[in-house]
Amino acid sequence: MDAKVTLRVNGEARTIEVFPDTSLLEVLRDDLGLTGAKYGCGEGMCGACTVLVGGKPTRSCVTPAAEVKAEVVTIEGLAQGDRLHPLQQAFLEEGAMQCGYCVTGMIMNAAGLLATNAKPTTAQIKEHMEGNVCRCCTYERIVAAIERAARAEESR
Amino acid sequence: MKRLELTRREVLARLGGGVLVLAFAPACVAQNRNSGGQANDRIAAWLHIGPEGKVTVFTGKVEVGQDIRTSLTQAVAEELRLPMDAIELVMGDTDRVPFDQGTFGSRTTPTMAPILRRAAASARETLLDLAAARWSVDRSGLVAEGGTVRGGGHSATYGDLAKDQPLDKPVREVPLTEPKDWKVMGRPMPKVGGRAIVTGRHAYTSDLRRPAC
Ligand code: FES
Ligand code: FES
Repeated sequence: MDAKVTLRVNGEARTIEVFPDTSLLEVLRDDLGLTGAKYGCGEGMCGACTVLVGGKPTRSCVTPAAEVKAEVVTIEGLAQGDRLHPLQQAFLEEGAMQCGYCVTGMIMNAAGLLATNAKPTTAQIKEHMEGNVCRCCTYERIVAAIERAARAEESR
Repeated sequence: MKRLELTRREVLARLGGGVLVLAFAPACVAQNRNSGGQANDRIAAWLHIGPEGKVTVFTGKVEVGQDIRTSLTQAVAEELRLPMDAIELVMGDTDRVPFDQGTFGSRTTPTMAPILRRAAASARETLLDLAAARWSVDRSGLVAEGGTVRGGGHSATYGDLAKDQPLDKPVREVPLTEPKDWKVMGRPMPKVGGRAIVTGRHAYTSDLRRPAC
């Protein structure tokens, strides 16, 4: 272990020791016990490990923890207490999951989209979500859920 | 090449181990068959009704996204006349569930759902028997619905009726609810456990920590 780093995760400062190549995903899952971000491929190809870093969807498996400077938000930090984020609610209402393994990464990536584009077109949603793989092939409902969440946000 | 050869030997060595495992397999099966000390023809092998009325169902089938946690819950809810959230499934925990060959071939709905429906319907009929005996009334005037047995001016919750009488009775050949009378089965239901998935709290195998680790 050669470096101590302090990360801000879901509003809390957390200090851990890391190697230079320790990924943010390892820190989240193994050191901080935040297992909502999933290990899919480990090489930036599937999106299962997506979290927000400084508001931007980021693949935590290929992000060295020591280089993270901005606030990290994981799926565990998305709901406001008992009130689900509109995306979480919409995924439930659309039944946009089978095994659900990809879902947390999908939601975090979509959260990044809605933060910068509150009313995305279907084409924009598909383009933005392109790098997130769903092994169960729930894509249609995932797109529908993001559209539903965008509508819900709008009517609030 | 040398390296390949070694790998092949390793593979063969492992294969040998595999044969050994197979030879021991029947003993494991025999142990599992009566898990929890309950033979599979007893209601108690498949479901328990807790004192507060919470129903725990045991099945060797596992949920990997086919949504059988939801569909099997519907099957039990239908026959026990209970809301979905009164029921919890223990799936694939081989210390606790009756023996099962595995989850494959789209067999859960045609084979496991009828088994659980019959166990749940047997539990319902047993609760009616217990209530009739407790109140010394004719059982035909009693109705089990929503966690309570009522009739003849009496009422008691399922949990209360099952309290001193674990449902250690054989599964019976009771008629199952006709599709035309279904209230819970055969219709779309929210995914059981869906909230844990969208909040990241659902623990997949890779999220589990063994106590020693
Ligand atoms: S696990 Fe990070 S992209 Fe696949
Ligand atoms: S729901 Fe199974 S991988 Fe997407």
